[in-house]
Amino acid sequence: MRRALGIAILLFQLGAIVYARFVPARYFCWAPYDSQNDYLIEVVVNDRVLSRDEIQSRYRKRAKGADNRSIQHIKDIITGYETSYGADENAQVSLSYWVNGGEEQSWKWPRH
Amino acid sequence: MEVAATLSPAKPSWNPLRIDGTGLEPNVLLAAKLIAFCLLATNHLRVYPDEPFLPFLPFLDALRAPFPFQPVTEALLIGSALALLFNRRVRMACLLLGGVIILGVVASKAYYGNNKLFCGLFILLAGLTRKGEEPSVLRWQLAIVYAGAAINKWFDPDWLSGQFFSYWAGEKLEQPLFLAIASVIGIGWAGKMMCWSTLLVESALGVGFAFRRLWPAAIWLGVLFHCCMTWFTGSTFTMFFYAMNASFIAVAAWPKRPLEAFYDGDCGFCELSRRAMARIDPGSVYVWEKLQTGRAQSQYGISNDALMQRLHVVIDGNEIRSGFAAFKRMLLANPVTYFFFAAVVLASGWVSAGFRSLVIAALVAFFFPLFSPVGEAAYNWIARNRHLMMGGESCQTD
Repeated sequence: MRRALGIAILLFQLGAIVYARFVPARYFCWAPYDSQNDYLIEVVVNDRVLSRDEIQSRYRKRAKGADNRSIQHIKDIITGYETSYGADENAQVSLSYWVNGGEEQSWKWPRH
Repeated sequence: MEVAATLSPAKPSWNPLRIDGTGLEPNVLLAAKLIAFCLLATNHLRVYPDEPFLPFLPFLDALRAPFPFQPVTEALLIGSALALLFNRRVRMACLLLGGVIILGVVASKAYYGNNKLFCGLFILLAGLTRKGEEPSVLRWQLAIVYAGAAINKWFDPDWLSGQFFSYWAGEKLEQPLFLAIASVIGIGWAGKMMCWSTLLVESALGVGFAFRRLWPAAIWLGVLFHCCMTWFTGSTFTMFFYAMNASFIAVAAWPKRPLEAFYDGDCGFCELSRRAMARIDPGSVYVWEKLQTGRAQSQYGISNDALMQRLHVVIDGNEIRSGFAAFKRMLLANPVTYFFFAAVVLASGWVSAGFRSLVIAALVAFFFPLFSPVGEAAYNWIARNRHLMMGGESCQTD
C-alpha cells in the first residue's frame, strides 16, 4: 500500500511534466525560476480603481512585482478569483507583463 | 561487543541530535529532521496560508471560515515537526508534516511554490519508507525534480538563447561576476553560457540520481550547484537551498554501524581530541579503541607504524580511512555536524547574504575532495607536533 502510494505520487509528477508541454501553466512539474516575469495588475470595480493594497488583498499577489514562475499562474489567480469569490463584482482587470525582459504584453479580464 | 551494544537503543531517544532507534533509516530521518528544523527556524508559518484560496482541489474551499483552517494546520505543522525532531513516532510525524505542507500547496494557488512542494513531498515520501529498506522512492523523487526542471528549460526558447540569464543576472540582479564576464564576451554569450550550464547540470543530476553508481557524483554536483546558485543570487530560494541539500543525505551511503576509531591511547593530545569528539557524539556513532589493544592490526591489517602516525577509522568493517580523510568521515557520519551546518548557515543569513555565501563556501571547501591535500598537510603537521600542544603533557609516541 505505502509502496503503491509512493509510486503513484511519483507517476503523478511525471504526468505533470508531460502535461506541461501542452499548456502554458507550470504546476507540479518542477519549473522553479524558469522565467522572470515583471507584471502590473490594475483593477476597476464599479468604476473605482482599486489601490495596490486592495489588489494585494484581493489576489494575494502584489499589484506590481516580479514572479519567477509562468505568467499563466497570475492569470489563473485573477481568473479564479473573478469567477468565484469576486464573481458578483464584475471587476475589470488589466495585466501588463514582461517575460524575461521582453516586449510588454497585456491580458485583460473579462476575456471578451 | 561494544559495537553491537551501541547499534540501536531499545527506545528512541528524546534527544533531537540522535537519529537511531526509530522506524526510519538514520539518514532518511536526518534529512527529514533537517528540513523540519529549517522550516521552524525560518518561521515558515508566516507564509503558510491562513485559509484556502483558489485551491487546486475545489472541495478544499469547504475549509474556509468558519472552519478553523489556520489554527488546525498550524498545530499540525508545529506538532508533527516537533515530534519528528524529538524522535516520536517519526514515520507518522513525516506523513503528517509532509501532508500538511502539501495541503497548503494544493489549498492555495497563492502559496503554491516548488520549494514548498518539494519539502512536503520529500517528507511525506520519507514517511512511506521504513528502516531496513533502501529509500529508492526518495532517490527517484530527486531524479524527477531535476529531470523535470531540465526538460522545462530544454523547451524554453529564452533558456536556449540565453535571454533568461541575460535579463535576470544582468538587469535584475546586476550580478558583479556575470557583468564582468559579460563585459568581456558580451551579455548574450554570458547569458547563453549560464543558461546552458544550468541546463546541463540539471540534466546530469536527473540522470545521476537515476543510476546507483552515479549517486556520489550526483550528490557532490547537487551540493555545488545549489551552493553556487545561492552565492550567485544571494538567495536560498526560501526553503529550496536547505531542502535540496538535506535531501541528499537520504540517498548518501550511510554507515550501518558505529565507526571504529583507532587512536593512540598513550598520547595526551589524542586523548583530549577523543574526549572532544565524544562530547559531540550523543548517538554514539563512534566507538573509540586504543591502538595498543592490537585489534586494528590483527583484524584489519593496519600496520603499527601507520596507526602511530595517524588516526584510523573503519567503516562498516570494510572501509578504512586515515588522517584528515578519517576526520572528515567521522564528521559526516555524525548528525550533529549537519545540525551545526544548518544553524550556522541560517544564522549567517541573518547577518547578510554575502556573509552566508562565505560561510557556505568555507563549509563546502572543507569537505570537497580538491581541498584534501591542504587538509592532509594540516593534519600531518598537527600529528607531527602534537606533543608540543599539550603544554608539557607527554606524548609517548614522540
